[in-house]
Amino acid sequence: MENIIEIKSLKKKYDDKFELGKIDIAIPKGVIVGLIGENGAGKTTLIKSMLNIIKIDSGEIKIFGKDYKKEEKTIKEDIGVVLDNMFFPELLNAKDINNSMKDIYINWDSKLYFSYLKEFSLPDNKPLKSMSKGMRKKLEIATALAHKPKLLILDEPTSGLDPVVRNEVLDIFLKFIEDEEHSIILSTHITSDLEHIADEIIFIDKGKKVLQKSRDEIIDNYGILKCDIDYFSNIDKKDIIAYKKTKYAYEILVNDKEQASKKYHSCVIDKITLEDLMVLVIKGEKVC
Amino acid sequence: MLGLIKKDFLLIKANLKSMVIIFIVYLILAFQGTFDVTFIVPLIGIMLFISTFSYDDFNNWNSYAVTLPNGRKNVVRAKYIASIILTVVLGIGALAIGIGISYTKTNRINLDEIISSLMGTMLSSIIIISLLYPIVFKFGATNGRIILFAVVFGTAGIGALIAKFVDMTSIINMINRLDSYSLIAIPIISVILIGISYLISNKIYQNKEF
Repeated sequence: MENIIEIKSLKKKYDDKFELGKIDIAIPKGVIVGLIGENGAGKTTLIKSMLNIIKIDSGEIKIFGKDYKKEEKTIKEDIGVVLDNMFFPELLNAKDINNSMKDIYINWDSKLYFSYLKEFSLPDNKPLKSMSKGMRKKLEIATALAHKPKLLILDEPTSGLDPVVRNEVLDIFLKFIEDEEHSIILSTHITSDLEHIADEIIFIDKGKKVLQKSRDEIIDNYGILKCDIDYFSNIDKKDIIAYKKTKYAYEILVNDKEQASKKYHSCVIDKITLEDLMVLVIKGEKVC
Repeated sequence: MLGLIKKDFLLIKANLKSMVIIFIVYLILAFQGTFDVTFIVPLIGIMLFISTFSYDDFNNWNSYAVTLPNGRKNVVRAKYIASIILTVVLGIGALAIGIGISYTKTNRINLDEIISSLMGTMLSSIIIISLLYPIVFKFGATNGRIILFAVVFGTAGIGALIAKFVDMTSIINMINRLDSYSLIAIPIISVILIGISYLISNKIYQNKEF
């Protein structure tokens, strides 16, 4: 399968001691990739590097097989963007945005844009400053889609949206990748969204990629082994990815729950959610 | 780039409502002769335009603008082109109003005086743009303005100090001589200033992170 994004040995250092890297990522066509990690883990830095908003210190980023140094314009014609902070001038209205954008993107489709506005019940003549945060987010998503991009790069696109609209938006994302040519990379705190739509999960912690796996692989294979305090010493250290001690038991993250359930009969194994995974990896203790 | 120019004019249009009263007050003062209209109209325009930088900063526009096709190049170009268009349009407007005022007051048109005053204003607009934009692109709208004031007042202060000790007549003579060629000299100086300023701003913006 052809890769839509290829990142090799990416490094980016900020003055305040935060460092991203070395990061290698390959994202194929036709998938939704979810970027997870706690605040300050480096998700936004990674996304900003992919969009050339910040300059990377070293490494290589290729999008659609093209390099920013040579073909920035062609790359960006095909990317739809939503950033974590709101970014449209708040004095403008949705019509004004159409007026400007139609002269910015070659493939801008005003009809499509207004049909999204209708779908999201957004007014086209009210200034943005009178809109709610959720409405502005929806407007940003509509704008990101209206030039028919091949790739969506979205930083927290569903934050601030109510569950009904969030589901609408997620459906639009699923429709977007249907033709197997399009891809989406999105970061989010709402990990349950990713359990619904993501094909792959990339987990960033303290500027490093700690995991990139398909969602099914994580949900099917990873699990939380629960055992009482006395039994903990019987568990093979190799099987423990991370663990957390609660009042009466240990919760242990394992990456092969079938094997673990055979090995440790007296323990219960729970299904894992992405949230559990995140919390255990970030906050849990490791046996090294 | 046209889209970005449009965005700035749409912003000015949206902001205009709050400026209408100030505009009317200035116009009345101009009719009374307190202000010279050829001076005030283009400068209001520049003020309006500079406010677009503040809105850009306030709304995180730049981090999005650089993700647009050719964003980094076009943002800088669009700002310069849009402000030149605005300066020229307002200059023509000021000329028309100036002629109107001159005619209603004296029943004749003192075109020479109006044009030379307008040329002076246009040049000051261009100087403000050329000085301010690289600073604003580098430090942002709020800090940029403070730095510009410091630079202008600093220069004026140093100028005044120098004038105390040095005979300024030769310099004033030079400026006067320039004035008689102003129809040719001012456009040439403007183009050179704007050109240099654009190159500097462009260089700054290409490497800026948001």
